[in-house]
Amino acid sequence: MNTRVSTGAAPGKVILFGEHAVVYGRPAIAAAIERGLGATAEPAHDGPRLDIPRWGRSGLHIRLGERQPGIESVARAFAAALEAAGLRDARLRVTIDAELPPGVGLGSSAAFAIALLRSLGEFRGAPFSTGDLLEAAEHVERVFHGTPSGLDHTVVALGGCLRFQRGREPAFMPVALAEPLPVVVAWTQREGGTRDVVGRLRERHDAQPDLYERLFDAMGDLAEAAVEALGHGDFARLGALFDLNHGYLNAAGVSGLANERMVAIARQHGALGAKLTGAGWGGAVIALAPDHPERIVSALQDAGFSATATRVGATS
Amino acid sequence: MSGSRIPGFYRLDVAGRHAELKQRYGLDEADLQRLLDGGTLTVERADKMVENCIGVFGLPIGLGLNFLVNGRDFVVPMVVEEPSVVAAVSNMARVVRDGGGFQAEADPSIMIGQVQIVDSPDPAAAVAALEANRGHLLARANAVHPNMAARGGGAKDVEVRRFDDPFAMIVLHLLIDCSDAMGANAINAMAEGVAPLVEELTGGRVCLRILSNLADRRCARASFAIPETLLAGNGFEGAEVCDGIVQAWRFAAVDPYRAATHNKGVMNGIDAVAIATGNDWRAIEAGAHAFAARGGRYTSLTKWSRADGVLRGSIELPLAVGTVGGSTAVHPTIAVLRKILDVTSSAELAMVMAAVGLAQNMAALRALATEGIQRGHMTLHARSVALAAGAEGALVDEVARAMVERGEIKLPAAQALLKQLRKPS
Repeated sequence: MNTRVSTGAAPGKVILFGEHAVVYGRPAIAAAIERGLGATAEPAHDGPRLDIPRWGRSGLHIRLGERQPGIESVARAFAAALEAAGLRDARLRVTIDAELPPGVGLGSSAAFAIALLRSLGEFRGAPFSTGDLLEAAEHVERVFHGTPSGLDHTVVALGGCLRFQRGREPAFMPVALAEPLPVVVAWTQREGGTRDVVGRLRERHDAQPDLYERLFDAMGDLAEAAVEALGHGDFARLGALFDLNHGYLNAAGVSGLANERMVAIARQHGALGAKLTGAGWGGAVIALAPDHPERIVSALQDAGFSATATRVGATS
Repeated sequence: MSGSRIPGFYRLDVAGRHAELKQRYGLDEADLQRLLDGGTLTVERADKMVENCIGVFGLPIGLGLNFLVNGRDFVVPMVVEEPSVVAAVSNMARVVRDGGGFQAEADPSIMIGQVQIVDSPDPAAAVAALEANRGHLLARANAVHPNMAARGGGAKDVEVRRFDDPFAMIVLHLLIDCSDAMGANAINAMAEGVAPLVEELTGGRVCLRILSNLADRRCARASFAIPETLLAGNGFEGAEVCDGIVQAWRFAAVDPYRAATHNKGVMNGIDAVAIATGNDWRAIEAGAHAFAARGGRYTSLTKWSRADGVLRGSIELPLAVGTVGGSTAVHPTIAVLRKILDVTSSAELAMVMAAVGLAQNMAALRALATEGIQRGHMTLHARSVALAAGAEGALVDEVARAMVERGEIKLPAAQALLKQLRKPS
């Protein structure tokens, strides 16, 4: 087993505060979580090929140049990554494995791009610089998302915890955490696409801007207060900020029935606070759980949701 | 960071030493306060670290001085209760420094996570399946704990080991680069994370999933070559001291009973630095002793030789130490001591620790060697005194031995002894 293997990985992400409000120029706080995607690149005479054993019904097995209906977007993303790495026709095989569910707002497509690019950078013997990695990831993610905000792949590439505000210079600022946050993340299928949720809120906002601007101001204030509470590791305050932010998101009409149930179960079983994370209408919630996270996880699982205890904002 | 030579440091009182720390290493009042009574770990913090907590335990912190490793000066904080350890290591570091200092190197921070597989219906096929799916196993391991791989570390390779005797099992090793962390939590998480995939690939059952403390991919080495004359002093020739050191080492090299004590001396220094830097010294101990027995017989962690007036010493041992994570983050004193030590990476910390272990061993061997020489000198001297007193034949040795035992080697004593021995009984 001494042939060369090249590895890469990227964590998933959660938005801690400010989803939706961020579209309207307010600050958001996002952080990497302690699980994600791993990619391994190895020489292979029949390459380039990409295997993702745990995606799709029996795994995705992509060979460029072959017509493979249903998985064209993954194939195009792979081709874009190879192109960015200067490895277009390289004899290599990449295997990707995920400890993140796709499509629930935990950053799995950004992690896909970053982990894949990192393994290719190592394979070619020249790891991507952070700047090149972000640029290349944007190309790859564009295949999935059209126009990504940049928030996902920036958090996923840099790790830790970041404050983001559109139009600010610099748009991204690292947030110092006293310690990584012990959380439970739970998720279920989305009830609609991100674009639908964002579009629906846009219509309501544009019809009654005075009402919604006030709501976004309040969400922005929570994000600012959170920066300080994160720095002090003030869990009691962060729990309250989670609950308040969830209430505002509910008021904005983006929380679905599943989100409400998951949040309620987490609170009932000892979370200091809980909120939906990401676009809403299903998808994921996050609960602050410094004590006995396993009780919250099993209560959520008993109710039919997926859930895991992890830490967010860790850099090591 | 200024030099690691602080002449007369041992003569100062604690306040005087603090003044030096302030001036030389930029420590402020808050830092210094943290080194004193009550500045350390709080009971509240301690209560979160262990169960049934009833208090906090104190130990002395000393500074190992004079270390020059790869041309860089290091002042080495050492937490140890045993007298003489700090003085001895500082003295030897001074000698080595005068001869050019230590050369040291450290392996990449590769740790081993073990996954044990039993009840595999077809072990040969299971081994082949694990080897064929290396890419998937590594991708899974890195997905479980992506932060390490994101910074260039993470799971890097796998090894498959098959045992048939005394019972059948397969052991999968994940080779994980932990960068500047000791890495225990990440390694265990990865070993647990790949378990379902391993069961799927092998058709067997995964039992244990845990790191190995025999961190033999993460060794550090330190060595030096210095003129023998630097060991001269107190009436001893450099060459005879160095010969004594090499002879004492040869004993440890062949006899496990001696090697255990010999290596205990090495670990006196290494453990003291491990504690001061918040590292798990039990893990380091376990790794060091398992490594010392890797050839099938337990032996010395150090090697000594002399030729052409030059004494050479070297050490190699696993040093799974971190500069981030673990208790480095929770213990307030450790942050201050890290400031004093000022290493830039876990590899550099491992190199300094290897140098400390080698210097500590040198101090012990030198003490043993000079003690032996001294006894030899004393016996020779006593014989000549006995002869001067008029002893003859077997009485020479008898009188000499009696004087050495009493610690009084003088002519009147010899005469008195002689008189007594000649008296017919």
